[in-house]
Order: sequence, then structure tokens, then C-alpha cells
Amino acid sequence: MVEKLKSLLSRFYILIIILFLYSPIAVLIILSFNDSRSRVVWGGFTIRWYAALLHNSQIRVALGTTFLLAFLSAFISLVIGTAAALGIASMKKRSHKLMMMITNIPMLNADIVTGIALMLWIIQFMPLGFGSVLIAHITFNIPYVILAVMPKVKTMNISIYNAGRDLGAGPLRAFFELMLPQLSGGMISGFFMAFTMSMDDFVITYFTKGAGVNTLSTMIYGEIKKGIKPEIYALSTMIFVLVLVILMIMNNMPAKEKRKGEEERGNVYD
Amino acid sequence: MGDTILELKNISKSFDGKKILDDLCLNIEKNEFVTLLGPSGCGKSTLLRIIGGFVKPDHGQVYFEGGDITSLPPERRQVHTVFQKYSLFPHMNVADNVAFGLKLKKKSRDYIAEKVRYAMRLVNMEGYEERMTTSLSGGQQQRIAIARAIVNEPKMLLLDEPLGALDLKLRHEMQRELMRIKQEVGITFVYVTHDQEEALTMSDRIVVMNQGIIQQMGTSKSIYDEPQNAFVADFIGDSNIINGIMIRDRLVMIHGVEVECVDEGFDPNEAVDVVIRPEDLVIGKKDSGFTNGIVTNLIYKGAYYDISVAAGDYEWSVQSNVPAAVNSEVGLFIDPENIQIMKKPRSSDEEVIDKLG
Repeated sequence: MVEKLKSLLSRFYILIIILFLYSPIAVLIILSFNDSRSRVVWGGFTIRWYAALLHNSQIRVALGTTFLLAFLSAFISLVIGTAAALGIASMKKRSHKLMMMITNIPMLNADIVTGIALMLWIIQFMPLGFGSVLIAHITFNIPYVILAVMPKVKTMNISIYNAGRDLGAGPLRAFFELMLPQLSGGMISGFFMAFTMSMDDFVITYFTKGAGVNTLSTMIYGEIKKGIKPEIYALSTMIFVLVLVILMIMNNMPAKEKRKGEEERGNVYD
Repeated sequence: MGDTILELKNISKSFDGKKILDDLCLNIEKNEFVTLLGPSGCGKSTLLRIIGGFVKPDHGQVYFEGGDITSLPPERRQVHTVFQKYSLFPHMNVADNVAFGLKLKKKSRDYIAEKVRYAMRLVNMEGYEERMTTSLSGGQQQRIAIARAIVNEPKMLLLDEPLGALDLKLRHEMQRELMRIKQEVGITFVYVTHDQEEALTMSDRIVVMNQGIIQQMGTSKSIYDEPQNAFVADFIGDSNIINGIMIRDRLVMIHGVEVECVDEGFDPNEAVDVVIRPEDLVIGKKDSGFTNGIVTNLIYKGAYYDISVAAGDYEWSVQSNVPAAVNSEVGLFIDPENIQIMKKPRSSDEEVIDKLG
């Protein structure tokens, strides 16, 4: 009886999730293929909004900016965040705790506060533009990289470094060839997390971008004020699919490592 | 003796104000199998790390083939280490692990392939070249770690408790393997362990350490048969260590009984420590041995019985093939050759050891 109720409730829950979360996205995707400007009339299947999207130079530029920004900020915060994780891990317990708390603050902080604060700060040194958005994105991306890399740093085997030195590798070589690969899992997921965070961001970008620079999210926001065009459906669909793909890649990686871990455990007994 | 390959001169090292090694001197000969033996914290691992180049001594010099290598980084020493936790590179397969050192030296592809094949055969791991190291068992990983070090043809191999993580049977098997490998490659082995049986089995020479000081050096036999102080006697095998008085040469008084022995050169009536190994004591009829006692405990150990015999306020530990009834009164016999007389500790260092013992 209880079991039946449980399964009934869990099905109900899934139904609600689908209804409220995914059906709007499904509607959006369907509309992006609708050969009609109306939101309620199905005018047949078309891909002309996607074609229009490619011909819209404003969107093309914004798309380019978004990817460049996401890639650069993810890459730079990967370098800084990995170095930071290594540094923090080797700190004494108290400073370690303090640093991790400081790391967590930007993630919990309201975006609008971070956005305004960064704008006020950056404006003291340079005019707002692509550079300022990049700096802002790197700033909020670093904590995500640290959080992704830190567990790997903690399980890193230091004697492997010594073994490398022993076999003739210099300190730098031993670090880059033997230690860094141990962090690769965390670094890759940290990179993708930062990449999606950067692509996803609207508020902080909006405050730090200045005139003339647009990412997809700020551009769409501007467009919506003039009325929603079907191209935006197509664009949103593309972003959704892209994020979905990245998410699937990220979710698949830890699964692989888990399997490897099980192999190790299995071998203790032979 | 052969040539000295490594010379440690007056090595001292402290960590956080605690003295780990104290003015230690040690020479190691070419092709020797030397074991540093001692309880955990005695400084043996630190000494090995100083030889490997991972720790710098506070004082003292390390000479390798006559040259001072005290401040040479590990990658430039002709010494390789097999670490306790294997430390194989997890993101490389077995062959790449073994080839790592040779690739750094930019050897030709053919040379590396040939050397790797030889090393894999040496450690009986042929056919595992393509496996990932994480899929190997502990014993297999240790074999690869040895192959990875030996393939570079070091002049000396340091082994830091390499068999510590293995079960007893595998450990015995690997001990034989190590001795075979040592014979085949003919290089100097410096082996660190806290397992006295391991040390006695494999070594040409054992260096017993405690409190950062060398307590005794010598062959397995000399260390076991003639311990020079109470610490060594107690650490290597089980012992009965009793207070005695040397009446004159070849005669010692134990518990008020004069017993014949073979030691000479002590002052008349000098207080001494008397060491008797449990397996050297023989249980016989009451009143026929050098002392009488009551059997208080009997434990079957498989190959022998572990018997406790109380005589006066001392409890003798005896190992015997025949059991004795608990609570029966028996006599204890000892062959004069099996009594080892040691001077009482006098220096402060020895006193430290005495307190521990």
C-alpha cells in the first residue's frame, strides 16, 4: 500500500517537473520550427528562423563575443583557480578554512551585488568594454574552478612527485608531467563549469559590459524590449542544446572515474 | 673488503626541534645488501631520504663514490628509490612507467624497448606492459616499481619498507625475489625495514638503529648471536635479559647461582646484562638445572611451545618443542656457549636506550 503510494507520488512529482520546467522549453523549441510569426498558430515546419539567425550580423557578433568570453574566462580562471587550489591545500588548517570561506562568498553572493561592485571597482582603472566583462567573468569563475579542483588536490599522491624526481625529472617537469595529470579530472570539469557559468551569466555582464559590447543574454534582453522575434526562439533553442551537451559531457566524466575506482577496490583482494 | 660506494659523515637532522639523526656515520660497500633496521621513528627512513636526496641533513656530508653529493637534488643522483607506497604513475600504463626514466634521458626508442623488456622479465611481469597500473595488485605494483628503478641502471637502489603493505606469504615470496634480483643486477641495495625477520633473511649486513644512533652493525648471525646491548638483544628476536655479576672470566652469577659461560675480559665482580635466547633454554627435571621454576603459562605456536617459567621474581621465556605442564616445578638448563654477556650501559646514549628497553 505504502509502496504503491510512494511510486504514485514519485510519478506525480516527475509529471509536475515535466509540466512546469520542461514543457515551456519544449514549447520554445517547437516554436523555433514554426513557420508563422504567431505564437498560437502552427504554420508548418521550417528552419528559416535558424537561417535568419545566421544572417543576422548582430546575433553573430554577440554569439562570437559570448564564446570568446566563455572560453577566455574559463581558461584564465582554470590557471588561476588550479594554482589557488594547490596553494590553499598546502595552507595550515585555519588559513585553509578562511580561504575556502572567502572562495565561497562570491558564489553565494547575489549577482546584482557582485555586478555593481565589480563595475564600480573596474571603472576606476579602465573604461567598461570587453576587457572589463572578461575580468568580471574570471572573478566569478575562479571559485568554481577551485571547488572542482580541490578534491583532486587533496587526494593527490605527493610521493609520485618524489618518484619522478628520483627517476631524473626536474621539479617543473615532475609537477607538469606527473602531478597535473592527477588533477585533470577536476580541471576539466572546473573548466566546463566556468564555461557554462560565463555563458549563462546576464546580471554581472549587464553591469560591467559598457556600451557596444553584447553577449547573447544581454542582446536578447535588449531585443525583447522591441518585441520577441522568432529568431530568438531559434537562438534560445541552440543555447539550450549546447548547454545540454556540455552538461552530458560533464556528467559522464565522474562516472568513468568511479568505475576506475571500483576496479582499484576490487583488486585489493587478489 | 670491496670499495666504499657511499659514505655518510656525521649526519645530524632535526624536525621541529626533535633530533631524528644524531652525528651518524656509516659506510656502505659496493654490491652490499645493507638493511637499516629499527623501530618506527628511529631515523632509518630519514637516513634513506638523505641518501636519496629528498631531505637535506642539518650537519654532515654524503659522499658518493668519493664525491660530495650532500646538496645534489634527487634527479641528479645515481641512486633510485623504491617507495613504500609504490608511487607508480597512475595515468600511464606499465610500460610507460618503466620507460619514464629512460625517456627523460632521451635514449633511442629501440634501446628503451629492449631495456623495458629486460626489466619486465627480471621482475617476472612479462605480458603486463599494456595494463594500467591501477589494475594491478599490491605485489605486482611493487614489482613494477622495482623494474622502473632498475631499468635506469642505478649504482644503488634504496628500498623504503617496500614489502610493508603485503601479506605474509607474498612478503616471503618477494623477499626471495628481491635477493634473486639483487644477485642478477649486482648493484648495492640499501633496505629499510622494521621487520627483524626480513632483515635477518636478506641482508649481508644489518645496521640496527634507535633514537637516531647506530646501535650495532654486522652480519645477521653476529647481530643475533652477539647483541652488544640490551636494545639490540630485545629488538632482534625474543630474549631473556637478566642482571648478573661477572665473578671472573667464564663464570657469571645469575639470581645467586654461579653459571658457566664463555665470555672473558670483564672486571671481577662487574655488574653485567646477561642475554639468553628463549630457544636456547631447555626444560628438565627439578633440581637438575641451574635454577628451578614453576611453569606459569603454555602457548602453542605451531612450530614450538611458548612457555613461561617463574623463578624467584623473574619470569623466563622458553621456546620448546615439548610441552610442560602448567604449575609443575621444573629445572632450566643452558649451554654455556649460548649465554651472551653484555656490559651495563654507561654513556648517556646507552642509558636512553636502556630506559626504552
